Amino acid sequence: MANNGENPSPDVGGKTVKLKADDGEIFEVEEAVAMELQTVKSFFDDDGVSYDTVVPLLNVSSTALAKVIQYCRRAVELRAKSGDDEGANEKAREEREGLEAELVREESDEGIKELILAANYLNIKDMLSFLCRAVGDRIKNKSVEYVRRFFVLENDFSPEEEERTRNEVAWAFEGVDAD
Amino acid sequence: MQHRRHQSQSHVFPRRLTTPGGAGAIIVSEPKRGKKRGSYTCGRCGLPKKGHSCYVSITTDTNSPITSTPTHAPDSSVAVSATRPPPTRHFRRALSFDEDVGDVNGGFPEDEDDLDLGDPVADPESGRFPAGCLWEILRRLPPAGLLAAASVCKGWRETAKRLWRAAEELRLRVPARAQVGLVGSVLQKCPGIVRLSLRMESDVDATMLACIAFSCPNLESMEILKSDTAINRITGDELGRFVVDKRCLKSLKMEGCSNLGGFVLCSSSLSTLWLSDLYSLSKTVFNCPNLNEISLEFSCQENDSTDLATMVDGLGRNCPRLQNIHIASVRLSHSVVLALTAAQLRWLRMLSLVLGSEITDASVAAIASSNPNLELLDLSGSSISDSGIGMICNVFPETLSRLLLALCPNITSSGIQFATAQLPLLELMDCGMTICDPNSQNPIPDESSDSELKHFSNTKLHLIHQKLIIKHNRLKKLSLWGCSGLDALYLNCPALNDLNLNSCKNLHPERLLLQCPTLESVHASGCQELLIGTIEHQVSDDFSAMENLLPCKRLADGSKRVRVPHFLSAQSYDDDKKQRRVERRQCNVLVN
Repeated sequence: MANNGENPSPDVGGKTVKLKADDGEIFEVEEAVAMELQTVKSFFDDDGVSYDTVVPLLNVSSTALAKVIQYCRRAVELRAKSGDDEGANEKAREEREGLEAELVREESDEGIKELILAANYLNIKDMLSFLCRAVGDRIKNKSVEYVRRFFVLENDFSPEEEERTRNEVAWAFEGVDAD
Repeated sequence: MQHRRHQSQSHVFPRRLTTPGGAGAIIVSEPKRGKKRGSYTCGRCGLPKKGHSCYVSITTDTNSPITSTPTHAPDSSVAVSATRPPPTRHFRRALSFDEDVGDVNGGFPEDEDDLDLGDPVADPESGRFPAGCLWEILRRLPPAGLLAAASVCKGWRETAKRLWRAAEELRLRVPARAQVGLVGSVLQKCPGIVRLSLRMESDVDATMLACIAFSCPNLESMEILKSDTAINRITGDELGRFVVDKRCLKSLKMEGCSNLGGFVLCSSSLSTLWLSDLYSLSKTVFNCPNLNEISLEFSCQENDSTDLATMVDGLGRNCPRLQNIHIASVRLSHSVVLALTAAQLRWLRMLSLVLGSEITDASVAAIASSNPNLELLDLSGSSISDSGIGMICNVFPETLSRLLLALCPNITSSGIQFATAQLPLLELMDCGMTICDPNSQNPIPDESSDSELKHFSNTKLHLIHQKLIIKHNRLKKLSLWGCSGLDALYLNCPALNDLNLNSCKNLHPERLLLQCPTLESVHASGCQELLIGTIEHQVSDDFSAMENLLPCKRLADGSKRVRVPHFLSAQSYDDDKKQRRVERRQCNVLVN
């Protein structure tokens, strides 16, 4: 049971769940955090699967999973902080936004894509939301070629088709940043 | 009335539908329902569909906050020329105050639909991104971005197309060189559009209306804003035809209506109508029995030949359900008010008749007798006096929560104080440019030069060295901008959030006492440095000012004692004050 250095052992006494990344690495997380991942939640909702079962997350790399767990931990903490008090709510929300911004700022394009795929697969609504927004920001004013490179996509249009689309919305390409 | 904008959620007068400058636009989609194909794996997460529930929320995610509002003329220019009417745009605020800008995301319902995007694009091998993720990314792009996205590859074009078709709301900024055809091509992608807002930077005429009419069969709400350089050439006939055609149109808002010339509007669906920059309207017919809210702002050009009394008369007769009325025109007069009150609009709740210097106390009497249940009354720029205020306090204390009397030269500090004492439900009070001498551009001389004081005629004495003491439990926003005659101010308002003291240049730092623990913003542009310092000191003093129960206050030099009014020693709060002591929010003192 190897624990990733970035993933400190959870508190003794709380229920934990074991998640296995695609390379076999196992992460032990608190139950509350694990349930942020809807995919994991449904895994256990099915027919009373025992909490001791290791959840195989074959589509998620260990680096991505580590970051996801880190984010979810902080998110759960912050949510616990906010309650009825409007002031505390506001503060918690700001902190969470700061956390999201930080996570996004440090990521490379590849990293962010990987995180999106992970958040999507693991079905973490909030995380997917801010990640997608961040990617949207990154490609918003870029050229079409840039977007293709970013997502590693092939241009499968015929030249005529492409020309037509371009002309139709020429004004949409105003203000495009240099790559 | 001129408030410095600060990016906060609690504006005095939020203008909800302002499209943020240059930020492109926002698109809102709702999932297409009932379109499921037999696919083994869920389109979004790739897990087998059986026994799992996917969770996609298709809410809008505006990419720029609505808080970026247009900047208005700097306060200093208004303070100098009080007779020239300020820019008209902000008058609308009185009405839109009702629409609190709470949720930036527009409050669209979240949908937990299992949106199956059909094709097995969920294969992580090809194309890398499952369609669900792509949808999430694309739907957060501005329309220009979404259009560009369609050029990336066929898969993207397909998803973009679906997004367009699901869109219900669209806000577009139409740049200067764009042609109607381009807007048309965008509109045709989204036939489901229900709410449309266009910010025109190029000229707009009836071809745009025709394009919209053709492309948006389900249109319920339309807004045409324009930049300063764009010209709106739509005529009254064209507008009338549009309104008749669009049978489900509920809300119509248009700027730059100087070429309307007159119109006949017939619609049983229309409930909100805002037209601004109107000029010289000949005939106006409002055949809209369900009209709920109307805002008519006339441009301040000379020789406006509109017959306001007849217009208002027609409005009153044909639109009995009117609740909110806003008219801004320098030609508003007592006879116009009489025409309005004669209609006896029993649902009227918000009445705003501004810029009319010929509106008098008699007009107030007429309003008070025919509409005793007003919640908002705005008579800024009128000639009403303290007796008019007296009448207001007599008739409206049980309903009035917003009173705006900016630029009313005949009201005095006694009137203002009386109003705050007699209207218990008051939440907003605007007394900008009232306690001042509008013709004086010189700073009031200080007390030491007695000889100069004698030069002031008696009639003007009430405009200098004025004191205001306001204690009110519900007041949230108070504006005293431009009150250069004010030299002492005591406020004990436990609910006050926003205080505007811009250009209160004679407000004495030692005669200011703010006991308003919930204060979030104080606007102090154009005030003395010392005053700004005092304000900052008072608002950052956590509760110490309130806990000071001494009836007198000793000042730093020990020589003077400011006599604090009696109410400040009784520190008992109402029952409805929160028991819990919340940490005091930071209050911003805004200087420019």
